[in-house]
Amino acid sequence: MGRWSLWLGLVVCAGCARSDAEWVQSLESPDAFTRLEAALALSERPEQVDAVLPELFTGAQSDVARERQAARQAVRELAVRAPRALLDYRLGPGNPFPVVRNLTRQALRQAGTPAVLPLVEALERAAPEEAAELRECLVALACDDSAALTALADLLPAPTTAARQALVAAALREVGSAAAAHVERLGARIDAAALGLDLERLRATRRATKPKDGERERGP
Amino acid sequence: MSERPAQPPTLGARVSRVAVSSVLTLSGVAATFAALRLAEHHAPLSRLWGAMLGWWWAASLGALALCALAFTLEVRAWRHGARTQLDLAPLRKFFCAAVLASALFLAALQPFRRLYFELSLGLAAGLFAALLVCEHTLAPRFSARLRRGADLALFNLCLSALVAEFVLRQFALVRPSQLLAQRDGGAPQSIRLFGNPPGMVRYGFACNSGGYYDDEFRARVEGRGLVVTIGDSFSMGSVPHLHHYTTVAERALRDVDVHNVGAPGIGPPEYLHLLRAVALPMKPDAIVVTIFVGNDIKFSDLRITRTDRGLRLWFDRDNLLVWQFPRRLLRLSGEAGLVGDAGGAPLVSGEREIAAAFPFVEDPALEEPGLTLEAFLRIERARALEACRVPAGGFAALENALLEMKAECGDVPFAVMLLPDEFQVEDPLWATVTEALPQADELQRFQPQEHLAAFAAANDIGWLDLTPALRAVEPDEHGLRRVYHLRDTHFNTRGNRIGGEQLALLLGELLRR
Repeated sequence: MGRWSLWLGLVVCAGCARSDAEWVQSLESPDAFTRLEAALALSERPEQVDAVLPELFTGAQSDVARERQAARQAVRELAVRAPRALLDYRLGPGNPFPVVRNLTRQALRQAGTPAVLPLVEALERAAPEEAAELRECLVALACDDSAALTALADLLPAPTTAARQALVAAALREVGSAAAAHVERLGARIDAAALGLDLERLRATRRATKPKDGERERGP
Repeated sequence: MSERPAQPPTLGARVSRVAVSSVLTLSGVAATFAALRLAEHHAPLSRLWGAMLGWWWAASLGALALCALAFTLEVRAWRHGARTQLDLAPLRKFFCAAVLASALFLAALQPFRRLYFELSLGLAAGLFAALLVCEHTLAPRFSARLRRGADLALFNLCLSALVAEFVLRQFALVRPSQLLAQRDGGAPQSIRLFGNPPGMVRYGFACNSGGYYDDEFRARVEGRGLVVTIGDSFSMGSVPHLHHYTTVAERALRDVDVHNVGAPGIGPPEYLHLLRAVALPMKPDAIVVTIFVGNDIKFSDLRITRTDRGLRLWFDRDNLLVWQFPRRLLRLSGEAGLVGDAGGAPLVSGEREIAAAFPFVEDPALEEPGLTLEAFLRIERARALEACRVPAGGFAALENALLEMKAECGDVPFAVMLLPDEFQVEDPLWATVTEALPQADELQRFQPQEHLAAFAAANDIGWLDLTPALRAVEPDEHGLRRVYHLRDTHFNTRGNRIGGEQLALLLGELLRR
């Protein structure tokens, strides 16, 4: 019964659903739930990412578990679809809130390959205290996800700039033994010695894997 | 099959049929409205409810179908000669469905959200239609006596719940009490409920005729300045009036009257009301509003519509007295006998007499706790979570209220005095509070201070943050500054003295302007 009703509901939805413009207007509502609802409705629209992120982070701290989980899930999905926007928001002025930092870190860590390049780009422009946090996030992502590690290693060969090469090499050194195979794979395409990527040392480095942030998510 | 010849309907029958068809039409409209709202909000709701949204749809469309079925059965029954006399049973069912759906909403869909309320209208309609369908299909299988008994029992149960709520609300009007307060009752109601009765004696001092913890407010005296401070329970404090921060400031300024307006348990919306109703009519030279970090940051936004506020009064569990009153009584009985007396002693005047009657004034070690340790830490943890991880835009309600107050003041200088929470002053308490909180890494201990200072500067609002002055007190051997009354959350004599001295400095500056 639930499934058939859902289908019937979807047909009705097609005719009655609110337009994006109406949802954008709802983002200005004085009611926090209305704003969160609008943010959830618009979270799949790439052009609205900047407008919805503040409301999603607010919703991520809601006292209501359902709202908190929905907002956090939407941020996680945005980390896959629009990691650059998420990182821009994180590094933007006036966002020192711990919940923004924590949730961005968790979401990017779970985002996999799409987050690798934006993270490296963000690292290049981040202030030192933020860079440490982002590097930790990048390393954790590479440790958790072999495809992300491959994508990270593939940033090493030319035409990558020297500064970026240095950042990537530093991250790979922290990844340790798992990165050795990739350095080996790239072979003559990179100057491993100049980048400080000594294969023997890499193979000997074991990184203590931290639990994924999402695994220790807690309610208020 | 031969049908009985239809008899002309009596007046009672006509009334019954009109009533039933009216409520059924109303139910159909409500169910349609709920289904359309569900369709309109399908996208965000699918994220909020996931797979359970299918059940919302099933219930909503089921309600529509039930309404249609009930209407058909009802018309068919009329044709077969039903409801030939005045019959109020369908109306009773309508009432019961409304009360039961409300109870379900209050139990399962809290806190109040307007959208869920609108969706629940469809469920209420469906419930009513289901009861009516049962009357036509299942009920004939049971004896008339059993049906009537069940009908009356259900009706009486629903009526009792509603009457109990009405009685408690009326009682709150006649005998205001904090036990009967409603969170969204509005500023005048909150002040009436939480305010002190005129002449109430606290720490040997009688409140004035307005119920404020101060001498009788006198009209402006030539050659003397007049300042009004507005606040919550800090305007009552946990000290005799002689040691209250407004009295300390008055003594320090000598030629300025500082009128202390406030009531426990109120917040910025009530401050705005007091500003308009009490402070501005006195034509003061300056107005200072005290904002307490612990409980003045999160409150209902003043911009919320009147309809929403009205709905919240009935459909938000926190405003429901049949729910809140027993819980508050229970909590109060748990605290009874475990904590000290708030100081309802006979009138005492004179510094020496006050010191003798209330020895803790001179020696904080003699302070009686205001709360059990468990209750105190519970409050502090909740306040830390509320005040120290405010997201972007989370201060908007307070900022709007302050801007509105400033606008109301016009040319009268307006300032905010920020009162820190105890966990921001006492480091060991902060350690205890954060130790037990899983979200400790999300907390920014001084976030309200930093944010509101910048806001006040940007909006030309006078600003005094007591945090630095209170933290400047040298900690004792236990690392405690002891500027708050023991497990009470309010300033003790030492805290009031520091607050009063700082207030005097602020007022001196404001009045010089």
